[in-house]
Amino acid sequence: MPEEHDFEGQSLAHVTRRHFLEAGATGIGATALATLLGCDTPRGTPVPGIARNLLDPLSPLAPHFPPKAKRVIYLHMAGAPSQLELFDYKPVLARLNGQLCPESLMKGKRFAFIRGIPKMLGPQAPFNQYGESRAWVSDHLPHFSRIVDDVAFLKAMRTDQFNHAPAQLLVHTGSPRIGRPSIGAWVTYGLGSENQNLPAFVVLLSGGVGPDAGASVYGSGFLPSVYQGVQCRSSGDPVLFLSDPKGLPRDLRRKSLDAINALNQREHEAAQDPEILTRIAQYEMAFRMQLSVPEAMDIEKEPASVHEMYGTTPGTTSFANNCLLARRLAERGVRFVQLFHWGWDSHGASASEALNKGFFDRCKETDRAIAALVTDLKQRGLLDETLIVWGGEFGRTPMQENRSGADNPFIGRDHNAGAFTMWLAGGGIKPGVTHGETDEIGYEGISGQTDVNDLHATMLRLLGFNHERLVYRFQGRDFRLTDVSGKPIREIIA
Amino acid sequence: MRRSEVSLGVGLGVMAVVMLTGAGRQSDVWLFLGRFHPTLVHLPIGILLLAALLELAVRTGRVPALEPAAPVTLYLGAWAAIVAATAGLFLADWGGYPVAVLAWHRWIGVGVAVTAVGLCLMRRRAGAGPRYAAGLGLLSAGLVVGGHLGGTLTHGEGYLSESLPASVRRVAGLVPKDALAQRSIDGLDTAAAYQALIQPILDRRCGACHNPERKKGGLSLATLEGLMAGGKDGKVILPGRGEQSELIARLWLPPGHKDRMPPDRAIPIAEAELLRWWIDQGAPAEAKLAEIDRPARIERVLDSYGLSDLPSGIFTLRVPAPDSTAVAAARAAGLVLRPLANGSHFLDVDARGALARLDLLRGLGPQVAWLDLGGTDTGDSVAATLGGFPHLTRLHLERTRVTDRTVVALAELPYLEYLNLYGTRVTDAGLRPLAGLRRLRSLYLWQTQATRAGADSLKRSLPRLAIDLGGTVAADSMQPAGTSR
Repeated sequence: MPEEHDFEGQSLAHVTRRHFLEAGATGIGATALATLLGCDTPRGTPVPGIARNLLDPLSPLAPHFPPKAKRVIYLHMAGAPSQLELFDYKPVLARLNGQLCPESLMKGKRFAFIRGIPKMLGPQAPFNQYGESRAWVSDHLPHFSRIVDDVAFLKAMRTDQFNHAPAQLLVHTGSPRIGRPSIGAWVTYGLGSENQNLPAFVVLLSGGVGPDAGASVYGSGFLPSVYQGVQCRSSGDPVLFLSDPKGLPRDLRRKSLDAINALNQREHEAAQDPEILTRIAQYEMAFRMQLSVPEAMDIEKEPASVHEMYGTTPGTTSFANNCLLARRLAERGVRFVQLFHWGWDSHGASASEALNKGFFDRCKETDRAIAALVTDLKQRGLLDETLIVWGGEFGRTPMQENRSGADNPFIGRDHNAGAFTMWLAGGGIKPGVTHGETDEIGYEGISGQTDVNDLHATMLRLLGFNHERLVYRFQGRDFRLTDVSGKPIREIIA
Repeated sequence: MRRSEVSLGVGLGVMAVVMLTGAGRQSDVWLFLGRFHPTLVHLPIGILLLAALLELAVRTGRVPALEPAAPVTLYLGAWAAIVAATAGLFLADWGGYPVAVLAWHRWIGVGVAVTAVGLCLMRRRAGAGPRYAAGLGLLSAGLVVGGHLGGTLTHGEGYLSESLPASVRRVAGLVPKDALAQRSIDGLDTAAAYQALIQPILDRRCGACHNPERKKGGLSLATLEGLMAGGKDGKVILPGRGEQSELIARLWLPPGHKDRMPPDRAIPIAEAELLRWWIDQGAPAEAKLAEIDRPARIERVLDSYGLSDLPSGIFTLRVPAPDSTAVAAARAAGLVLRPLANGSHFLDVDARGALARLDLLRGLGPQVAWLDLGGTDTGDSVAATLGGFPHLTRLHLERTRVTDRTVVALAELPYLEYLNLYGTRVTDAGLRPLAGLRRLRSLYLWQTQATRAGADSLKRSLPRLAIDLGGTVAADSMQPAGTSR
């Protein structure tokens, strides 16, 4: 330590006023030259970011080009549903059922649970082709099979994360580590909200367990926290801690808010911290939401035919209720609705995790409601401008899982980062197409492979953004959702 | 006459022979010599300019001692010019360069060689007089201009000016760089594919040989007529069959094959794809980009040219910026207004929160492109107002009190692409006036009195229109189309 100090002292002793003037003069000269020559942007076109006034963080803004979708409903199937039992039909795998997996398929792979040599596992459902697009759908999804001509499949999605939390973070924030804004936060930052009485980014959870990576998957990362997803509940108070305590009339609430806001404003003038503005905006929104949210979240007044269509039961927490809520929020101009439904982690280690038990239940819980959501949005003319995204965080292996070398008590599959299926529908998506193909056993993509960055680039494109230009400066550099990669998937854009 | 002068004369003679015997000398030996031109050409430029500098130093009296060096340098420079120009003539024979620039470059290059020899003789006979000085000035100018044209041939038009700082480009009156990328294409539904994409490729890649003057192989590709007429071996285009068309087939022959086109430099794959796509689409003369099917492969090519986000519909129109006081007034009344895109003057207006106060939008008629009146108490009185929004493309009138009378007014909105009428009292009769809306793509009629028959009848006039009558989930379950286990 003393030596370092000594060195620093010595080197500083040699810096004289002359050095300073010299360096200063050269620097000023170079700066002047750059200004004269107009070298403000070294190459190519200047990059116009999003001019967002943080005093008004949710005011509606225009994207880079005219959008095809105005809002997003993202249906995340947490735990990673098996593509091999839903959409990716592999007759060859059926023939290989029960055979030992060739060692070549295991080489260089990392699995969460498979150890040693597992057995191949054929599709655990009959498949049929549906619609004009002749898309393969398993018998687990009788309702979905009627809307295949409205969706575009990505059959060769891949990721580089094989555990739930990092994979969910990747699929929602573009990075497997905590700290980046979620796509809902990015979109809200870029577009603002058309309804100042409701949160711009709403999160609805079902399935009993939250996402593995916690609230970070719908967090705002380094964006101001006003852009994080607001979790709403379909039973009880829609938003926790939103109602006033008993005995506090609304006008008194207003007065106390005014006083708090004035104090916060003064604090902001002194500290210049944008988070204080976020707080003011949040208090104000909460005040407006006290009236508007209960109205938007009340599905009880929906006609019986709608409840029949979605399979909803008012007053409970269910994926179906959340789908109906998603439609109601979309109608009211909410920008991004994020649904999480937990329980798709079909390892076969228990009944609820079994492809031949729990998986059935998950399909039943979601199938009717998803088909209803797409159809309902369509007949209301909203599907045209609402982008729907369905998918998990990775796929599942064509091998049966053998946890610690022994077969699991139930039928299940391990995590597979190499291939999974997602589908998109609505706002600017080409309906009735399939992009990407996996090998004969659905293990890896063989053509049209797309990754999470491509998905995000596509979503942003449909919302009117050039994903390379939706940036936010943080810690001295521009960040974007797609980091350094990603290409809009032309094949599924109408 | 000295021996050195005689030899210069012989050199000039050889150059003249090469020039006069001209094209058709397509053998690798000559091309090999020609390929030295870009290297050799630096010698006369350097040496002759040095000669001019030496004369300047001597004549201004600054370094009189250099006097003997000047004529020697000029002599060497004249030789270098003859050799470089001769090599250049070999290279030019090979073709593949833009004709006009090449002609200028050729004449200036040959002119420089002849002038240099002439100045050599003049210096020896008459000394360094004023006419000699003028000749030397002319020679230097020729070197600069000819050299620049040579650079243009090698690197392409605008190579030099392209990298100028934007401010200098503005002062020099050059087009901004973005405009270069956009070329003459301003919109997907205004730019004809042939005019905007195909002919420029043919000009650039084939024009040097297949122009109306040279017409190699009897083929001129300068016009659509020439392209369709073909050459002395027959048609080069079979509309609808790109792969079999001679124009495409020859692009893919191996390098060195005698029928390969262009003979020396391969055409970029992206351009070859565009040509093939255009022929596959039937080689249409007038069809606009928006009217031709563009597979993902072609979209990607257009992407790489910066043409992917070309405007169509209203976006090819120019409207003035919206009046800011009118916008502020509408916002204050609770309407949500937002430009459709950064820099666009068109507006997306959500009027649901302000009880459809359309009078607030009176000053914004040309700018309103998307309008949402869904669920408001709008009635047929809106019909008179909607004509004031000629550029409407998306219109939400669902769950309002409008009837067939409003729909009649909608027929006057030529840019309408999306119309939502679900939950209104519209009937089949009301649909008929919509038959003239050629751009209409989506129509929503759930919970109206419109029927399947009415929708089908409208669809006969507008085959690309998607009509949604709703209620499809309640319909009987569809039979599986194929079965397997």
